[in-house]
Amino acid sequence: MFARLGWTTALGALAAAGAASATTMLALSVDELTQRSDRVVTGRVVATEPRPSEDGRRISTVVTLQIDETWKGTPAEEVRILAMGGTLDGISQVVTGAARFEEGEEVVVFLRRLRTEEALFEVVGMAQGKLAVERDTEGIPVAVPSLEGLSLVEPGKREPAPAQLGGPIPVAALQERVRASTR
Amino acid sequence: MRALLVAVLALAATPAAAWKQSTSSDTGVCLAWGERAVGWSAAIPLGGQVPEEEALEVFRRSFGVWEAETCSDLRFVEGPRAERSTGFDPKGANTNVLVVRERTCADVVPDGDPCISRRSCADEYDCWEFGDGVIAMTTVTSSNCSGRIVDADIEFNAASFRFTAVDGPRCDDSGQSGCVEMDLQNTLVHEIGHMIGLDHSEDRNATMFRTASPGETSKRALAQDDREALCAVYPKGGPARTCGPAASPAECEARRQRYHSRSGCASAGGGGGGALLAVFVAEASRRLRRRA
Repeated sequence: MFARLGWTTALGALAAAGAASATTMLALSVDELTQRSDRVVTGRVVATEPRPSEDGRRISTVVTLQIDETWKGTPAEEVRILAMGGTLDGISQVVTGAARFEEGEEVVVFLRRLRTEEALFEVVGMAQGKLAVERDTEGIPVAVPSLEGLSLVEPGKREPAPAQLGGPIPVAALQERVRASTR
Repeated sequence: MRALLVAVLALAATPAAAWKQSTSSDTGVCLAWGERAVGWSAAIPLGGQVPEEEALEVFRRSFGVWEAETCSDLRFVEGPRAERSTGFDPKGANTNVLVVRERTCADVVPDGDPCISRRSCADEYDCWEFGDGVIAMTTVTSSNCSGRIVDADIEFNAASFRFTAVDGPRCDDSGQSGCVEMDLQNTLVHEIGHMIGLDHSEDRNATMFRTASPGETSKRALAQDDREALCAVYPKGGPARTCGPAASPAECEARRQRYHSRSGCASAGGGGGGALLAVFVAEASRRLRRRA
């Protein structure tokens, strides 16, 4: 899958290119993601449930996330995310570039409310909007992006866009960036 | 010692393969087609700004790019034009469809429509439902036991992007003609890589590298890394490459039995590992249909 970066993100990336700092580039991308999100939360995946379409042609996955912290939006105990792709009875459907979730996984996610009657959200920016939380060698939690399957195109520019969320960032630093962009 | 040094230097001089095979979302088993003749069909009508006959020629050229490598016997077969529907066909008659979407689902799907919570608006409303920043999307359906791909569909987002199929300078703005904006072949050759089970490469020169830019045409052809991937996954005369924790035949059989016990179907019988997996795929297909 090829995807395009938003204008704000792309221009921000260009501004940061001279510094060649993955952290700076990540921060700019986080700003863009935050602005497009209704909620930004941290939490742990406690359940994943496949959901076929009515005609059975597409498989989605309803991911239940137990929320630890809400960085943007209305606080809640849990949130349900409709993720693209999934596995049902041995059939696996992969939507290249979409965020994937595993039970037990600790994550930071940027979420947008779907226009559904039930309270469902989707991840903003495909795989860009989900970061896995891991611990570094000193035990400090870091948010690790995974752009697996996601191709990025920078509109209007003649060079391929660098990966915006190309490296780990301390969760505390990420939280500060999210909160700064919501002020 | 000298021999060891020579060996080490030789290894260091050999660039490491940067390509990567796609994996199943839950089991991590590598994905590949079991057969070497993979069908594809253009949707009717195809849609998009590129005149239909020109677009079809681009499609043929794009598949031809992957077919041209003599180290692999992977082939693509153009089928009859298909309906504008994507995803895994539970009836088993799966068609790998290429379709161009001309409007976004956000513009045409009413709030609260059940298709939103089932991710089925694309076909029900013939719209693009992957977000306005996404140019093209490949959805690959496979067995998570064997990793065998059973369906792959490619959708293009013409609602937000202007695709072109010309040789020329890069467009300065979206209204210019005779120039390259989002090159159709540049996009499709990459997506075909996903269709055959390739993930993104770390090689910046590869067609399967994750980034591209408007006006780019370099991905119309394969790079060395893409060729190595194709030849490794689909070697001429050899079986498709497998990797990852594929489920054992016994585990696949257990899943098949669970399916039978739930659905009440008569057992289709066992067989060898490969045959068993193929049966399982078909059984799971029926189950999906039944749920629908």
